[in-house]
Amino acid sequence: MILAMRKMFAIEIASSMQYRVNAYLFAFSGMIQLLVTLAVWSAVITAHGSNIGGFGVPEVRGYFVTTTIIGFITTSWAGYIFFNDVRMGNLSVMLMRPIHPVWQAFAQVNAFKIFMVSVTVPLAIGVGLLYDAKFDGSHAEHLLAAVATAISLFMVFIFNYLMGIPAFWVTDIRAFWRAYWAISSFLGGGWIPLAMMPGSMRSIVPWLPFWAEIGFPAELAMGRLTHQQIVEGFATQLVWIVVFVLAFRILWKMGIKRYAAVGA
Amino acid sequence: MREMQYRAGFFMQIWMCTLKIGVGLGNLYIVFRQANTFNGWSLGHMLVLLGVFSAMQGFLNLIVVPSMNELQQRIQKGDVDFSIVKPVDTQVLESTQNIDPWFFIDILLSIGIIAFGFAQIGVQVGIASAAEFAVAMLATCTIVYSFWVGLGSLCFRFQNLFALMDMSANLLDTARWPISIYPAWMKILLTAFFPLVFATTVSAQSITGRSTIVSFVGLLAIAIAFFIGARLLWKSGMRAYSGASA
Repeated sequence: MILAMRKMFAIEIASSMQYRVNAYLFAFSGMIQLLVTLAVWSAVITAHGSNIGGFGVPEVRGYFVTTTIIGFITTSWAGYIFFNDVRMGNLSVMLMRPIHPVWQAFAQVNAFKIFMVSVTVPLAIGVGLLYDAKFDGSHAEHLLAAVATAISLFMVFIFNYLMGIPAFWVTDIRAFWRAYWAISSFLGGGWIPLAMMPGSMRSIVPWLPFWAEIGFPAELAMGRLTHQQIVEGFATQLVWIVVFVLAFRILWKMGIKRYAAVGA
Repeated sequence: MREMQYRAGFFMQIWMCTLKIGVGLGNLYIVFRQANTFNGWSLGHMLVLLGVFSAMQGFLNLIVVPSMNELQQRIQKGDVDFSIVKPVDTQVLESTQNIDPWFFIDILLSIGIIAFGFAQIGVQVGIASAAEFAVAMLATCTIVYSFWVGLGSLCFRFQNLFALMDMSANLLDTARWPISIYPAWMKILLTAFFPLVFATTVSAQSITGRSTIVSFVGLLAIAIAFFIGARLLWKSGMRAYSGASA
């Protein structure tokens, strides 16, 4: 199994190499988004006065540089590919292989990400240095944040793959996807820090998977979380992963039965 | 007309439109929760800017994007040959071949937002301002059209640059905000290579009487330059295109 994964990964890297220009372009466009976010929030905090919720201008810049990096490391689009594969009938071929299609998707997405991240991380750090962004947090917290990011990578992957599972039953859920994107980017903390969300939301958002994916590792890396919050954050991540994996197994079984029944 | 056949498409469009406007208004809500002005722009002025941005986006999605999206497939299938043999200029044909009429809704809503922004500011529109605004919007649409035609021209030479869509979307988002918030080096780069930020800012300023002669004339000059540039890029791309039978 491990050997198969390594082979698959090697194949996917070779395959992604052909599209590396696209990977670099995605990274570059992520930088544009980061720069816009930095400009907007710097203007907001300046207009407000000193700081908002513990975020002064340098802190908020550090925050968004961190969320950008984490966002790129953890992102996944395997669900959308899966959805198209099912609609186009490719699934039959994939099912003939001895390894579950989800692993191939995992390799594919992460191989492409290696190219993107190799550009994003240095550029984002460069932007941070250019703008005197502030990164606090002890070494221990940075280490924990790296662990949290790794967990988040799996979390985002499964969650996104679940977005593709409806392919077994419906023909087009792009409208739902748009809503999912809008909600997840808002609640994830990649556009607004938790401290600046409306008060009523602040008690709920940390328990949702979105913030556990992005905002939690970011604020952990910046040393902004208490011990209790760190524990709660990891617990949230793990609970949601279990939920997603269970949902995936159940829905996959149901979907495959239906797929086979329709005479694929 | 073919879009009208699909009721699901209709609801999808209303939903997308709502989402887009919702995001725009949501952004403003978040910003103005923290302070009363944003880099010197009041809520009313920012609403006008949002309306300008939405109108520009609506125009883009109404004609330019559907047409240019088709272009890549048409190049691969060789259908562009049919446009070439027609007596009308190929660029005109290819860039207007596809209209997504639902985006008229976007444009109407944008006008509504501009009007709402006006109500907030409490300024009357003079004839001069209105004329200036119309010209500025025309220039803005010209710039965005030219940029997309320029990008589309790349399809003649390079296949499969799917990341360009994502990049264009992010570049477009820079124009949501007044150009003054960006650092100097970004202002220069954006005005030189992607002057939409400059365009939307000046358009929003012109209708509220806040634009200067220099910025207005600058906008027109940029629009003309981009239009010519796009034309040159298109011609260059066409030369690289050897036709489906080659």
